[in-house]
Amino acid sequence: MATLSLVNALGSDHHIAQVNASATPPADDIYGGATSPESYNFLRGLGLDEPLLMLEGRASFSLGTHFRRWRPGQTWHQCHHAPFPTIDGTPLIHHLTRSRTPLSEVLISAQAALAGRFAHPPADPATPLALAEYGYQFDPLDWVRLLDARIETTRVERLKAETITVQSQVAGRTVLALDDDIALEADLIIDATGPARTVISQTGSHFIADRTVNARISRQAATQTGQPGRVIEASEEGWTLKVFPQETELSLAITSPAEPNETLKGFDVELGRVSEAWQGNCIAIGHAAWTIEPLSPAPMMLLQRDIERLLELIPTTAEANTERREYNRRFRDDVDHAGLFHEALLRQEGAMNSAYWKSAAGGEPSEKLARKLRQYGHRGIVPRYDLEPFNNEDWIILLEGLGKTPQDYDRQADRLPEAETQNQLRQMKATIDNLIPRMPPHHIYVAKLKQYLEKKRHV
Amino acid sequence: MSETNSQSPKRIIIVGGGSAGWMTAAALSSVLPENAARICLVESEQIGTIGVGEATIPDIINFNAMLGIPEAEFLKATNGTFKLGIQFVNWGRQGESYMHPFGQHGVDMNGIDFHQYWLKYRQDHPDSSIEDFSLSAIAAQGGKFAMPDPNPRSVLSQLRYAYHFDATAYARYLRGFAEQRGVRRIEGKVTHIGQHPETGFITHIDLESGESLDGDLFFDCTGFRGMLISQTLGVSFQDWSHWLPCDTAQAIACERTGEILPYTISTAKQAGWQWRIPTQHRTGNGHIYSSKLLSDDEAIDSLLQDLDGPALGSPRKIRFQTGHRTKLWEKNCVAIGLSGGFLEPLESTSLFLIQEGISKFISLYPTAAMPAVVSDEYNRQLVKKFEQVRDFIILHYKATERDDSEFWNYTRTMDIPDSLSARMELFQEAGRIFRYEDELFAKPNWIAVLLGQNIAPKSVDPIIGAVGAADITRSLQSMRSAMQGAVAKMQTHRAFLEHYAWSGETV
Repeated sequence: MATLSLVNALGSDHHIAQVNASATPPADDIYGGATSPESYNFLRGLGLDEPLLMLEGRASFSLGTHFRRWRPGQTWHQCHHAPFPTIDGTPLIHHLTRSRTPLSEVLISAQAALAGRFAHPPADPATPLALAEYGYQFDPLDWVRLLDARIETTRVERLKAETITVQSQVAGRTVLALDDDIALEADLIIDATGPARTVISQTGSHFIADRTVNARISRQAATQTGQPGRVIEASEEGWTLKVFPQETELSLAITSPAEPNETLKGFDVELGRVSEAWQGNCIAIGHAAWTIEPLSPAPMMLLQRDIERLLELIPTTAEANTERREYNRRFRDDVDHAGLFHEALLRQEGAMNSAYWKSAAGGEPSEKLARKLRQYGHRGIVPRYDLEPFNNEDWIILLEGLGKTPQDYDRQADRLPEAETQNQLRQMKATIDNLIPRMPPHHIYVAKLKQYLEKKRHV
Repeated sequence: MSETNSQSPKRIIIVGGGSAGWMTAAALSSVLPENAARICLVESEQIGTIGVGEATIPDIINFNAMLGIPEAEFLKATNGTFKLGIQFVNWGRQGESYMHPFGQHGVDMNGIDFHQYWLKYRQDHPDSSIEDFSLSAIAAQGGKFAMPDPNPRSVLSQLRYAYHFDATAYARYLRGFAEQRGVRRIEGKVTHIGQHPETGFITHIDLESGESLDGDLFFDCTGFRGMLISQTLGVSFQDWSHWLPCDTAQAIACERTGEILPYTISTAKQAGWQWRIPTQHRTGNGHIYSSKLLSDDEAIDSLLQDLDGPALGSPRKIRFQTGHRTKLWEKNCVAIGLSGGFLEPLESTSLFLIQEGISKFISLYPTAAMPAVVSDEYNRQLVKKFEQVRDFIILHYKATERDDSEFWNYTRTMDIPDSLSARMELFQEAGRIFRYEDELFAKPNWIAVLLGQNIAPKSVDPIIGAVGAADITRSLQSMRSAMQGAVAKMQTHRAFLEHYAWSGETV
């Protein structure tokens, strides 16, 4: 993705080479196989538009992630949703709190996902479906293949090597060695080697480890495309993620490395981030810069942000001190802010007493998260920090899913008589309830869409 | 939930009138459900108000719209005019001027900021100014005005505007608005402020008349005195005068002699700057300066010398300290306006900061218990807002080549907040602007001031390198010609006002 982005953005006076090292283990599966709605334009910019993703990328639609038995009594759909409507000028959440109405009842994307149905949100704002937002579910192997084919058609020089190592480091400038003997110099090196962190780890940037988990991945063919959203289910040992690209089911089980059950064992993944993602002339992106669990689409969101940040700050001088400082500031903010969302999921009272859950709920609690929880618990306010990856709706859906209901609501909700508020909420729910059965099942929608796209392609 | 409703503050007392007091009263009386609270505003005609907020930024339109105030009625009542931006004279260098217009420059294309196209275009067209691609700037310079077109495909959709008006008349207008909605105005001077012996919460205020008013929630709109927030509750002040050394203003109105300009003029002077704000029938003027470097007499002479019409009355002196209260909400008292903090009105943000104080308060409306969890979040948000505006104002003083006085030598060489210095360096490298998420001033604002004060990027962003120079020239010339064509069809500012909202008053 970074290679394609760079070749699209930079003029032909920039030489771009991509080195594939066969010794670097692939770690794309721990991106979690799902994008958020924000990725739509980004993917299109790479040439991965929806018809291509559907016809050749085996993508399916994602209305979010269904959390099943996350804790006793905690089951909800963490859906993607456009900004919530207001009622009489007051945010929806205050009316819901006032009338004790569950949020999920008035969320079209949550209800559609629960029913296993999908349709594209129309432009007409009069239908509640216009408020649904979606990302994609995908198998990283398919997308790597698509990206690889696109890069082949560009001016990018493709290099292959068994190993990549750092040959020298002089005055903050890294020189690489391919297969230990071919020197490769560049003004800018993008380290996309995943958790191996082949280059960035040699530059003086150190990895700030949070904890280690064990990941086990499996793939199996399915007779038809599965749910329009991922499913995460908690267990004593950890949790399992299921992703449903077209006619495939990917499964990722996350447990503790200390888990005694050998049948659950996969490979260890150290979670955390590097101290500086941009050090000298090397910029680490994706898992080379950070590794977080795919509890949400955060891994793909952060990867996109890494690339966008890189494009915004392509250096104009060899030193690049100004760009580097700004890049690292925003990198730290982005990773830390995405981490708040996961911390809210993992740091809960009543966590199970196993190695994974004890470790996940440990560590220093974040004051930023504590502020969010305090403010939301008090009166449904979600404080925002600068350019957080997750929006207000994501946070409200999460906190409601975790059972954190506000104690009180905004007084302005009282301007509307309570009966009128309840009437409006009932109407919202009834409209959604009427609409859902008319939406096609996800697998049928994907199949019909593909037929249509195929036909269109050959016209 | 009806039980919690009964816990909301029932007796709200606003101490002090002026823009802050009456904006607060008008907003609360407008948004609170009927009979939710009894609102009293105490003010004394013996205590003057400070009308430094006569020029505004476009956000004021949202405030008036929230109250449901018809625009033409408001303009007539306040002798208001339209404002398309601010002209800065002698700031970067003496003898130079630039326009900081509202709205954006040009149109972003292919996901790349417009100003990057312009920076590349300028390499072949060194006389080009980015103002030539701002509809608001072109209209302002031509003395023209039109309403923005809601159709995003129309070039007129790029227009943004605010107002110039008489702040005293605005307060008077809002007073009528608030009183109609049940706000009780009490004329009188506050002689004593009572506090709960254990909690320190304010319980009541005593007036010179002998009347005593009990309250659950108090707004301190007493100006720089901060009678409640400072004198009673002892909240400390975060002083920023080392970054913004002006501490005194002399203000005076004069007769308007020429056309009604649709923009504010800010002229840098020996030890500060002078504003010129055109309302319908007069011009507001003020000289803001550092009293350590300029005497009052010198400041007044300079002010009077640069009036563009006969003076109306004598200059009024205002002393101030730049900064903010470390807490703008303490216990059951919220400081709105000058009692909460002050930033010189170089970018016309005085009424905006009042508006922010009110709207954040409404969004966090507390129960009568005034939980610290609420005031804590309010203070975090308001302080952040003050800091963001502060950085933008400091930029005007720092980004200068002037070396003709001690004042400019100080500001040009002073240390500035890291947040600002990082932003300036980033722009200097390749014209990149980073904006914080909820920041008031957007990219075009920063670009106008940075370029206007001669902070020239060393290079353009490499991503513009892939775009051909001929394509850029064609696009930009087409944009410019569309804007010039649109402005040519606009009415003059005066003609528009006469047709739309002429007050009919005389000086």
